Amino acid sequence: MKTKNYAMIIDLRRCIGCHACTAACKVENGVPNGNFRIWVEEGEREIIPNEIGSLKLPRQCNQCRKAPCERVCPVGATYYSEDGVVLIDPKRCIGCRFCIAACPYDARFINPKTNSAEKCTFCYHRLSAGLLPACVSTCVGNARIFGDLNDPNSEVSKVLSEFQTDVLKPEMGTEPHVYYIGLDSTLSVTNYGELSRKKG
Amino acid sequence: MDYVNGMAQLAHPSPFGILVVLDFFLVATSAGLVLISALSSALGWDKFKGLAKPSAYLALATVLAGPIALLADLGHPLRFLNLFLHFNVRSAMSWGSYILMVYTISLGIYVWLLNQNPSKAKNWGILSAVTGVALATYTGMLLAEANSRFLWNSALTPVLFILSGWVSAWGVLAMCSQWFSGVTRLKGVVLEKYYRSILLSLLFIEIILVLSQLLVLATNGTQGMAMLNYLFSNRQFTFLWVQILLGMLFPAVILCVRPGAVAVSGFLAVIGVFFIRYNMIMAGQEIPLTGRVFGYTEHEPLMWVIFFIALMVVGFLITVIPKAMEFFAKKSSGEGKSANLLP
Repeated sequence: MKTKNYAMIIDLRRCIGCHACTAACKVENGVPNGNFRIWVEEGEREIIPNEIGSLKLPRQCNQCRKAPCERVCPVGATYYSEDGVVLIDPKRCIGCRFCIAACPYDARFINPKTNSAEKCTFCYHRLSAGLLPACVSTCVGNARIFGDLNDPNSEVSKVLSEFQTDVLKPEMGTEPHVYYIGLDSTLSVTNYGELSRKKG
Repeated sequence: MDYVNGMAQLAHPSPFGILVVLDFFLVATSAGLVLISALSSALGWDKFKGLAKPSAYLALATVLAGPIALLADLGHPLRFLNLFLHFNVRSAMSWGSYILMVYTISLGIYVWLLNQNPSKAKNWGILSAVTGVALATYTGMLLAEANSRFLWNSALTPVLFILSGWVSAWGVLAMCSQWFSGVTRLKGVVLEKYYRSILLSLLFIEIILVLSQLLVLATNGTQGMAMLNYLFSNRQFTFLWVQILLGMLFPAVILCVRPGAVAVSGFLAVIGVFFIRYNMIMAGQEIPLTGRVFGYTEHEPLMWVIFFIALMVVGFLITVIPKAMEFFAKKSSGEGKSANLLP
């Protein structure tokens, strides 16, 4: 029987773009330089005439229940934990990068130290020890809410029933378990008319 | 993190590099070659009779070099056995591994029997041709399965990959028949008779498919227009000048003007086919899925070294396989004769 169904809500009204989640994740999981399990995109939009609003969008693995990465993995190295978290078996991963190509959220990368695919796991090692993910514990504005959707009394269930939430790329049908409050399409939808090249 | 207009954005490296392009090119060329071989040996098309053995040799040489590129591209090359130990029924790559294995084994047996016992080669030829088509299709299916990359996620992709595989197979045969006829056992094989009409027809269909692809992009909203812009600006050299002009239109024009110039047209057609895969794979990854920064390709020198090693292995195998097969054929026929002399 499925006992837990982990999900995360990111309240963008509370995110100040301090990147503390990115730093905490890097330290907690030993993410190498140049790679990110979590990152915060920034942008701006004219909210009312002559007033520019600063927008933030923390991105990470969306813990899809119909994960393309799990579907395409040729060796079954990507799998679901019994609580619905998408995990990678680094010993089975052959480093073919097909999962990276298939992920609609750009959430995966090859760890140059292990040569295996890597991504956010909701800090599964911390969950197993009864702790919250590092980004949730660290978030300065309490913008990240984490918990079990199968528990109606959990904060995540209450917030999800109380507020309007959105997911990224719902049209992909991946059933993400990272929800956003106050999601702005300026950042969540790629503006193909304003693409830039990488600097340097 | 990258900063675009002072705002934090993240550019992502392309997952697939030049070695994947090379592998897809080699296996599709091999599949095309084995199809030509099987048409004469298994299906009895006399027109291609002289091509049965040479194209089978070339098919074996190209398919054996492909996995070198593929294995070198893996993060853990020594774990490739996991592909056969853990099967994922929903993964195109998982299916592809088995198809490649069956194809390589059946092709090996087919090439062996063509020399040792041609009457028994028919069924293996058919099996090689069928798995060859599956192999060329799989490379397109693999890309199409990554449905978030809209350039890849098209029903045209596998069709274009099969067809262009056949184009490059004819191109390789044309090159070898004029430039390396002795080594590849194509001496005396006159390709001009039917090569022109076949390659022109295939090139015509290839151009139609690429045009259809461009039309689909043009009608696919901002996403499609961004891809078109990208192909005709950032990738203008490899897409417009190399793939379309040099690799598709020039060979067709050359064949129309000088029907005897089969090697040059074949060489250009092969270049075109390689760049079809190159542009498809690279451009498909560089349009970002998230954020506003184009993806980028990491050009590691080691990858290019392996790229050229794999090409050299193709050349080496092309030279060695016919000699080896003929050596064993002679040896076994000699043994047969001596056995017949026994009382």
